[in-house]
Amino acid sequence: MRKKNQLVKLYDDFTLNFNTGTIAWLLHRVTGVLLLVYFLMHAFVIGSAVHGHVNFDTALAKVQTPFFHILEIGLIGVIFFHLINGVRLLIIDLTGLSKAHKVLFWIFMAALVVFMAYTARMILTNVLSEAGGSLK
Amino acid sequence: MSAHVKARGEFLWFFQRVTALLLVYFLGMHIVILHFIRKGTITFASVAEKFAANPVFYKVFYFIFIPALLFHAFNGAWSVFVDYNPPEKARKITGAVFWVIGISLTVLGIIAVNSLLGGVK
Amino acid sequence: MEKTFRILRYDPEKDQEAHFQDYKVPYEKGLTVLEGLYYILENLDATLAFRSSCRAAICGSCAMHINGQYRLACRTQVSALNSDLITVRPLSHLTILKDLVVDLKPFFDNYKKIEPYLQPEKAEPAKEFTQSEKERGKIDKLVDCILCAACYGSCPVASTNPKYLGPQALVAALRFINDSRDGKTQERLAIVANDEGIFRCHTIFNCQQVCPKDIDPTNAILKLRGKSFMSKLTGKI
Ligand code: SF4
Ligand code: FES
Repeated sequence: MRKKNQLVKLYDDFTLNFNTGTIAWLLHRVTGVLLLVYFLMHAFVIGSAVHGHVNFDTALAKVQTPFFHILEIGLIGVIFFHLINGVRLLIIDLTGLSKAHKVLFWIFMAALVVFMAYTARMILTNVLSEAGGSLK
Repeated sequence: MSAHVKARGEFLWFFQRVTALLLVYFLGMHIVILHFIRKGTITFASVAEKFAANPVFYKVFYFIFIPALLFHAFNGAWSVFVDYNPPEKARKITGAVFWVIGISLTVLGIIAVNSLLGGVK
Repeated sequence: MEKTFRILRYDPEKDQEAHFQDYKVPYEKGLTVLEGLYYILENLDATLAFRSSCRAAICGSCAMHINGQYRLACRTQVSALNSDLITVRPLSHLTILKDLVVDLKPFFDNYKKIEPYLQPEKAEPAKEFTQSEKERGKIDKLVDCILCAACYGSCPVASTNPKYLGPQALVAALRFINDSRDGKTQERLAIVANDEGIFRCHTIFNCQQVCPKDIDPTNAILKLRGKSFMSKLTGKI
């Protein structure tokens, strides 16, 4: 039999063990890598502060268009998932309540949905008011 | 009983969790301060103004936040990397690269925060 | 009534790739997946290969992937699967020797690394080592492991890193650490407290999900982490 490549393996493991633990693990990993990549770009933009305020302001202006502000909703979602799933694992690590992982997962996902609704509303309000409109 | 004994991993594991907890606070505050409480476009001057209101706090804040974040990020990436059972040589190179990038970004971050604390010149 | 058994077939001498083959098996109340496999072997296709022995969830030979989860074929009632289609695959991460039979060597090699036998430190008593009820209670669940490798097959880390000890070996390590008769606690911790042992685990909980003996290997790993951290802090090794 041909040797399977890593992506096929990952797909197999994901589909053959389709439950909250696998989903949370994969999302935690994907969000973690995304955040590392985002952070490198962030450091690049903010790092321009060392060359004085003119460079900083031109760099920052590029990432403050309405388009980027709306992308920020996604960014905060990625951060919040990674954060809240990390807290879930930390709680289980510290208390040893390994059997509670599914319940905790669904509670935390509900919190994620509520938090994201709030964040999206706030960012959209900001973007709209800057564009001269309003949500109401 | 020694054939399978490798370097112990308690401290990396422990600090990954400590920095995780730190980041819950610091990253949360960072987002709230710089993104949620936002009036108009963020500029050098607007950030400098915020920092000037409480320079000591912001200095301590970012001096803990930046190293904690970099440790957590690169230790996390290392953990993904080791999952694929890389050969010894690849481990050495990747480990060294992670350390170099991590430390230089920490330094860069702290210099950037310092220049923001210095205000518009 | 009939059930369709869809089985992953692979014969290294004939096949390029593994493929599924369907068999119709008559259903009657109480039919287990293992009995279905025996029906196929005896009546439909004598070339089908699978492992089994006790038919009573004791020997750990018959772990395989059945309808969405790793299970023991002998203990899985077809009726409990609520489906007319029963899809059977061999354990993952291990080389297929034929059909549902895999090469368990990497699994047992990892088991051997934790030295799975009692190593008493105290002088040997005249008759035997005794244990109080409480002492025995500490290893109650852990000794139930039947080495079926369902947990190993379900673990995404074992998939990419064959050096990872895996859930079963770590359960066994805790079983000897918790045993009042065993004297090598610190040495055992040193074997597991590294990035090919308890710190390779990402608490994905698949092993907890699939273990037919309800042992909760994830919990065993968490306990080992606590113990190794304390031993590191107090300077023992
Ligand atoms: S821990 Fe459970 S799933 Fe793993 S080998 Fe033992 S009995 Fe099987
Ligand atoms: S045949 Fe022994 S465990 Fe299934």
